[in-house]
Amino acid sequence: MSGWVQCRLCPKECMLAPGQRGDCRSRLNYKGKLVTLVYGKAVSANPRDPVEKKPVFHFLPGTRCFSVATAGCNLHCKNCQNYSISQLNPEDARQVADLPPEKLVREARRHECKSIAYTYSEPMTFFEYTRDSQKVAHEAGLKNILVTAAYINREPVKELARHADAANVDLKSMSDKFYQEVCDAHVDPVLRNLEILVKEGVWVEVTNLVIPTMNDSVDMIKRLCAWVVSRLGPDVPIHFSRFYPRYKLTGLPPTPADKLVQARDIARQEGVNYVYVGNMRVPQGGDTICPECGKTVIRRRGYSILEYKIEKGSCAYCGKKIPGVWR
Amino acid sequence: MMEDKQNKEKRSSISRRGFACSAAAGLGLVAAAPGRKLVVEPVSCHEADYYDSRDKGDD
Repeated sequence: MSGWVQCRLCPKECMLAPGQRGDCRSRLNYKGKLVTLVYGKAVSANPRDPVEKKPVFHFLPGTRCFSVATAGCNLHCKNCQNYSISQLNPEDARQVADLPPEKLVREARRHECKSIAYTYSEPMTFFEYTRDSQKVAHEAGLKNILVTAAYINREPVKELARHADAANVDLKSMSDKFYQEVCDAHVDPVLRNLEILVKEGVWVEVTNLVIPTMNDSVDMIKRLCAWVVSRLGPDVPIHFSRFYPRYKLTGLPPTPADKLVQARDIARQEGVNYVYVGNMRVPQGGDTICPECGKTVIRRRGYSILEYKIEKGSCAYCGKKIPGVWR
Repeated sequence: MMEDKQNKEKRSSISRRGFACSAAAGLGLVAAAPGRKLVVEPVSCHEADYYDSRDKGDD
């Protein structure tokens, strides 16, 4: 039978007969050619997102980014907070904005954003749109932020890394079983891509959503932190984020505060220099602490910055260099 | 015979992975042949990168 195509974008490598679409819902075999149905078709756009919401805490803090997303995702996380767009066929979207790369960049500049965040669903799935927009954004002097599960093949992730300035990568667990059962994916490509992004010079922060009973054991959190320290370095920030019951995981309670604080303690013991607690207010959960002198160099409340004590990329108290991209 | 069975199993797992296109409305898709679920005519699409053309039966 002729006319089949095999998508090589992500590790799923879907084999598609004419008329079939991939597991991500957005890539279609159209008469023997693979096409994307979501190029420049935004189902969600927010022109005034704080970068802290992504979250990226060491990247132009206090600035706004233009957030954009299209329909579809190559993962199917049972706990997805944005399932209404990530698990949506593009043609079923109630509202779609025509936002080709040039217009996206124009809008971002008009709203005085410093960056564009490819987010909410999965920028690896809307790869071509992300890549082309990144290039136009750079030409216009804007930065690019990927908010991603990083489930993509090696070559395309390298291509995106060329024009990415920052990434928040969702490392959901160190367990392949968890990835298979909860996300319909595997962990190894994610770990590989994290290393690629760091090696390619993208500023990377890691988010781990702590789900009660599923990935919250001390051993699991220890393993995750140890891996980040040994393979990415102790200066890569980790955000432990609170789970809320959503989509297909409604039978579990929200993550208790003490579990998130425990995760933060474990991370510090494992040598992670910058650890944050997100989706919930706990004392100093969003503060950046200088690992040298222990003073708070950025004090946050929610997405707001209350105090900023970084001067020329260093702690204003002791002069230690704080890694990141500072304003 | 064994090879046929293996190919059949392989094809079956492949078709589980891909989704048939739903009836098209809204963004980008117009049904080219009503009633034929798999055939759609995208009116707004962009050629993708990172794919190979394959002839089933050759692999």
